[in-house]
Amino acid sequence: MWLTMKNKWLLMPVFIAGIILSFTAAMMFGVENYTVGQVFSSVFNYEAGDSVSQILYEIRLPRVFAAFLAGLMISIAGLIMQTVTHNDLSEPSILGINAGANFFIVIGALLIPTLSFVGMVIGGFIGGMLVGFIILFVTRFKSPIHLILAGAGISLFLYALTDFFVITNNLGQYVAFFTSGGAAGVSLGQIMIIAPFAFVVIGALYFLAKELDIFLVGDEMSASLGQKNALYQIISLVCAIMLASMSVAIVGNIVFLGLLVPHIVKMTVGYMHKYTILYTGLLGGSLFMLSDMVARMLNETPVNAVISMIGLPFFIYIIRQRGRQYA
Amino acid sequence: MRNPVKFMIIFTLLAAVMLATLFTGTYSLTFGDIMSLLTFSAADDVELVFYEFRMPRMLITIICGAALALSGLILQVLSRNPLADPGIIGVNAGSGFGVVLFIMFVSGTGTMNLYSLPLMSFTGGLLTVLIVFFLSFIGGRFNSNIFILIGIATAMGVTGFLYVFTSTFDDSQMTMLNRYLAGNIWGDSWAFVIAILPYIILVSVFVWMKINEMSMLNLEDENLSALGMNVNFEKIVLIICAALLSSVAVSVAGAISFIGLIAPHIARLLFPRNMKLIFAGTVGIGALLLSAADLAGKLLLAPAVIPAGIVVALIGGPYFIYLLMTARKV
Repeated sequence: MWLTMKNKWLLMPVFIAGIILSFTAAMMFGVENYTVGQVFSSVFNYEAGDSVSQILYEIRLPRVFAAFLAGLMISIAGLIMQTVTHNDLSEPSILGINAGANFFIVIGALLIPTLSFVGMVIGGFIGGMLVGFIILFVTRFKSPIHLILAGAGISLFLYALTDFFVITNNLGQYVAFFTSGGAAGVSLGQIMIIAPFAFVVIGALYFLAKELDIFLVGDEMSASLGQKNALYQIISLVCAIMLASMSVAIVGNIVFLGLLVPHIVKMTVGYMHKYTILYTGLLGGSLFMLSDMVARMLNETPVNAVISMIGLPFFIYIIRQRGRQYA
Repeated sequence: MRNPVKFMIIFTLLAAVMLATLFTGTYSLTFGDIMSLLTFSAADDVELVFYEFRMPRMLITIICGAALALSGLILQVLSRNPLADPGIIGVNAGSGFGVVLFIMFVSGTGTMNLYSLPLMSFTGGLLTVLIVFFLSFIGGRFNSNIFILIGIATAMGVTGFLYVFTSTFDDSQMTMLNRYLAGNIWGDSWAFVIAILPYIILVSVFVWMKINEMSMLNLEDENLSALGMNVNFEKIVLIICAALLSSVAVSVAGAISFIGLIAPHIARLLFPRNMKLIFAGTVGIGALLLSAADLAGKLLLAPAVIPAGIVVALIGGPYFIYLLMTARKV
């Protein structure tokens, strides 16, 4: 909150520089390390015959892009969910949205073994929507603790159901990826399918920035200001679920990122959505690129393990700081 | 319906499940075998299957089901929240972490013995709950909602974190971990029955002695203090009991959720207000649920075996959603 209204855009160059730095670092370090020169020459002057070029351009570049895109989508989804549910702890994996997407992707793969990537994304979206609306209708977002418990219980149930189908159909290898999460093996083609949709959805949310701001004063106040709460709540929730399920389709269930990033952004630039949406997306993207890099350096550890190490203490800190609203 | 009748029904069902568990499975026992067991003249292989495989497994499911249910009851009473469950607040994740450490460092080395896996998983579960518990004191007062929230976060974080070690696991080690996390009852021999039965009875008797405090805990903290109860102390004692019960159950039965959620709830529906009856009902229903789930897992898709934890979750999940929709006081 140390930035006044006027100079909030001043942070943008810092964020852009941060993205360029984390992109370069993510390209350089991993199981094999490369120099800055190798990274830039292979990205900008790609030579088909060169093996370094090939590894960097065809394996690492899509992975880094996927990490950026997924981090961006999941963080914005978290931000919107926090606003719409009036709950500081909301986030796609805590609310069970990711579990729903994950479950429907597995079911889709089971019913249609040749399921295409687009099919997976659509399946994930249906699953995420289903859970989102069960939670909306069951809890009405009234009691904060009720909401979080609902998400946790539904996740637990859906993961058990997923396990059931995995065990009865020997899908182990296929599913392990989604539950542990990671950006390995994403192709540039898949990113090209996701990216335009992601930017349309984020554009729509940006267009709704004012309405989202009004949510922050509480449902009763915003209704008395003349806002159609239910309408905007559903539109923005659908957008957030779309972002979350697309990220599940490319990197699996990522925990805590959607919680961590919006809070860091809110602490620096305040609550206005015209700033927070952009900053959250950029910071989420670069943080996820870096987490994925650390995961690669730690012998291909699932990236969730890396994020949990920062995310869990942060989550506990947030709960203890804002304890009164849950007590 | 009168209370003794309700208990009769619970125990008749439990007896039916016990008999069905003993007499069904891949090795089919004929009527003649059963008669010979009764007259102590059975063949060696029949005796082996009956006494060494089926009976200890059945007892383990009953003991662990009861322990998980009781642990859930304590958590629900303390948090005044009907949706609390040991699995949801991190016991399972913590024990899973213990199992990962076991596979990583102990399994296959010379120091390994029968009890090292349950001991490590027990320690993991217990430590997790205790850490969550001590983090939920704000300004010197225990806050049960904070406890649940931190528990949920810890369950998520520890589950994510435990995979940090799995990148070096081979297929068989990964299968072992996954079977554990799916709630596959693996500690099914007499050695485990003998190890955990006295322990669980001891803790349960202790909880029974605290039954009056438990039934008073639905009052406000201020009123209880005014009545002379040391509220923080009672809560600490009870929560340690809940942690002791659930982590030992999970350490031999695998990561099982929802028993601690459903059993106390059904018991409260059957026996409103009287905490002694709720206690007894919870224990009976918990034992019934887990043994029935294990039986169902064995029979539904035979010869394939579905882990009991998954069967419980398949029933518990919808029940949980139903509870969410009807819960008035959360």
